[in-house]
Amino acid sequence: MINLIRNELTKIGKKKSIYIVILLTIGYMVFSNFMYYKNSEYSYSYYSDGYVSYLEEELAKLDPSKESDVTMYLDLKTQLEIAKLSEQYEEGSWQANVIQNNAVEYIGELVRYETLGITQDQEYQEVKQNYEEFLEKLQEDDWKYFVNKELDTVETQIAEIEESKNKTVDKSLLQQYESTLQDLTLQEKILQWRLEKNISYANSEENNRLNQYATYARQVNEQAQIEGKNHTQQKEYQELVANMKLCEYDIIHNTNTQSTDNAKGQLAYVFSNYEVFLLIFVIMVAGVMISEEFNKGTIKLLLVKPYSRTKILLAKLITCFIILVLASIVLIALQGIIGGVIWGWDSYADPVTVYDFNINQVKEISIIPYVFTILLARMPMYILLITLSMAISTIVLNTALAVILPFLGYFAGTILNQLSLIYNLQFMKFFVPLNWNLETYLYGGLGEMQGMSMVFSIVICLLYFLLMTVVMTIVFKKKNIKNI
Amino acid sequence: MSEVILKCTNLHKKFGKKEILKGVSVEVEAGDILGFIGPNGAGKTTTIKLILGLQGITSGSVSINGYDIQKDFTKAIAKVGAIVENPDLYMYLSGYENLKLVRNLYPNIDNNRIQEVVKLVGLENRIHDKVSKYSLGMRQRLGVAQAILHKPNLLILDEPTNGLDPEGIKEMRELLKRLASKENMAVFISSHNLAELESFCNKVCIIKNGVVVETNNLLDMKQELVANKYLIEVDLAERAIQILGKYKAGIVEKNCIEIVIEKEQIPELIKEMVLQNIKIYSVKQEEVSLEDAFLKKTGGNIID
Repeated sequence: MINLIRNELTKIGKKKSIYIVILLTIGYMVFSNFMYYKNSEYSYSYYSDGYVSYLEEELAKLDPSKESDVTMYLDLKTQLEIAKLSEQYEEGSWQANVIQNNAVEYIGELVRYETLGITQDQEYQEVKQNYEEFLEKLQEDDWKYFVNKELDTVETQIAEIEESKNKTVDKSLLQQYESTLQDLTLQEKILQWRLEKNISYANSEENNRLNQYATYARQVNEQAQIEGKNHTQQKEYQELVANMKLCEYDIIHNTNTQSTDNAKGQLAYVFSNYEVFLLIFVIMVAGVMISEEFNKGTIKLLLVKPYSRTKILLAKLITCFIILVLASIVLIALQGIIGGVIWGWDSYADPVTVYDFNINQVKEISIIPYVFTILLARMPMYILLITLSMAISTIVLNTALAVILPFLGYFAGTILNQLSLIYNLQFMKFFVPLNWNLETYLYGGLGEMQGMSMVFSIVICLLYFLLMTVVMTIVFKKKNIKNI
Repeated sequence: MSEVILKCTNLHKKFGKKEILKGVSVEVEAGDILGFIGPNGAGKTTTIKLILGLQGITSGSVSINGYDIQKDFTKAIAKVGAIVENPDLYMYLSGYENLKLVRNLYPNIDNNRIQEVVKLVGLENRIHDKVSKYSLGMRQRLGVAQAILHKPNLLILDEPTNGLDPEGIKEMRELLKRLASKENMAVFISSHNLAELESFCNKVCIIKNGVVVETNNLLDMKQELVANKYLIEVDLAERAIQILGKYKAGIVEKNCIEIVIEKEQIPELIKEMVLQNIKIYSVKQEEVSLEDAFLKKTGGNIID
């Protein structure tokens, strides 16, 4: 048996096509890592070059003295002023971002007064003064001023709402207050974090994370309101909570574990990014293994040796699984090296973080065990696709079909999964594509559908595996070797 | 009685409704070289595939070294070497790598044995080349090397000279002769090319339309067909016939007559003719080739 496997490995190892696929994979991985690396450095700008001149042209067409044009004129003029102010600062600087968020309240007013010609007004003076102070603070490079100011506003609002809340007894109103309060508390938390962790408004990972956290937290707050969630909603809620907690973890620990813009992040997603290449490789091996030997007649050489046919087939299947494991390890190693060279090696020391629903805590895992856990979780899919390929190869003896059909299964499986989740087709949970990726169950995650668990999925996968291997073995044993 | 190595009993094979073999029985004993002869489509390759367990047997049985091929496949096949149709080689491997693959599947074959076999088939110089660069003759030799690597006591060859040129056929024939004597194995060799089997087979089995027409010792078969026929070269054939009126005689050519006669009677006959002043240039027994025997037995195959 071991000798049979050894022979199969020799035969595979001598094929040129294998090395061509490996080279292609490496080429693609280098290219993709490099492009991703380049992309991560690139930041987009709010304004394209022609934006200011476009606004000016449009403004020239409008006449502020006309009743019909005035709203439009005010709007465009405000935008123009904001754009002009923005241009004085570097793109992505905290000033530029503050201008984006806050300048409209000053400039909008100012433009209105100036356009309508009521510059003598007391209020205008006040507005102008505020605006100048705003500009001054921008110049002073004092972003904390803006944080404190926002914080003041939020705290005042909170106090007001608290007060109103205590006065009212209306239930629906009370609920409204409650949700507003939640939102304000969230804002307060973020602003406090800004001060505490020294995170300015400037474009940065940290700033980004704060924004992300805010988005997730808002969604979590919204979803928490829903009572009697169905399974899909529960699953969605679970994911949101996980994302929120992971952002929170990074903010509190001043870490960057969620980022994929480093070698570790790329390695963590190696299977979602490159599993197609892994599949091309193993399915090519599996699909060819039997049908080619039949079509070239070399199977006779094997079949007149003192081994039972079952053993011969089993040896081939095991060989494929060995190749699968080897190829997976090579894929991990390749991404590890390519990622290290392109992104730098430091990040491998950082842990991967996941949210564990069993203990309701963020868990730190180092990258190597994490990647292998993911591999293990996806193994049923790979094994089933390989078995499918071999089964087709054995039954119809057609290499092309044996290679193409598993791929069709792989892509169609993804689509079918989405469809069955959208339309909540319960019977689909007995169909293998919803079960062959166990990643969803990792760290206490919920299954894709009601009533699905890791054990359930493994049983379904096993059933399909057994069905295919039994049919394949029977066919292989009965096969007459035709004349060629 | 020597030991029976291969015994096929009443083999039947049906593909759908079509019956390819209709009761084939054949035996090969140790030391035999059996020529399994039949026209195209007679069922030679099918018989070989049944013997090797490559196809299911509809009815009947095959036993090799006392083991049934269906019940005891691994034991029965353990001491069999075979080439079916074409030698089964991995074209992208070298000759040596092909042999190593075979070696791995049997216990107790060392590298010396590979060298020995390579030498025996005369491939020493090219054994490390890729098989895809081999000529057909070299592939056949490598096929033979693969088949005999584990020292089988039964070698089954399916049309080993198919597709070879006369030079290749001669080489193959010499190789097989050498093998049969050196490796001391029973050989079961199928062919429709009779001329080359004649020179080294000691048994023939003729199959036609899935039925064994004749199984016999080659010499016996020839003897039977020859049936004491002699050719006598004389100066005047017509006169000789008149003189030999009491024997069964006929004119073959202008100065050659054919006569059926017991061997002991020949001196008498010559004396008689000499007395009658007939000049005798030569007397010889008529040679019958396997080919003639074959054609007589089969009378052509009808493929249905």
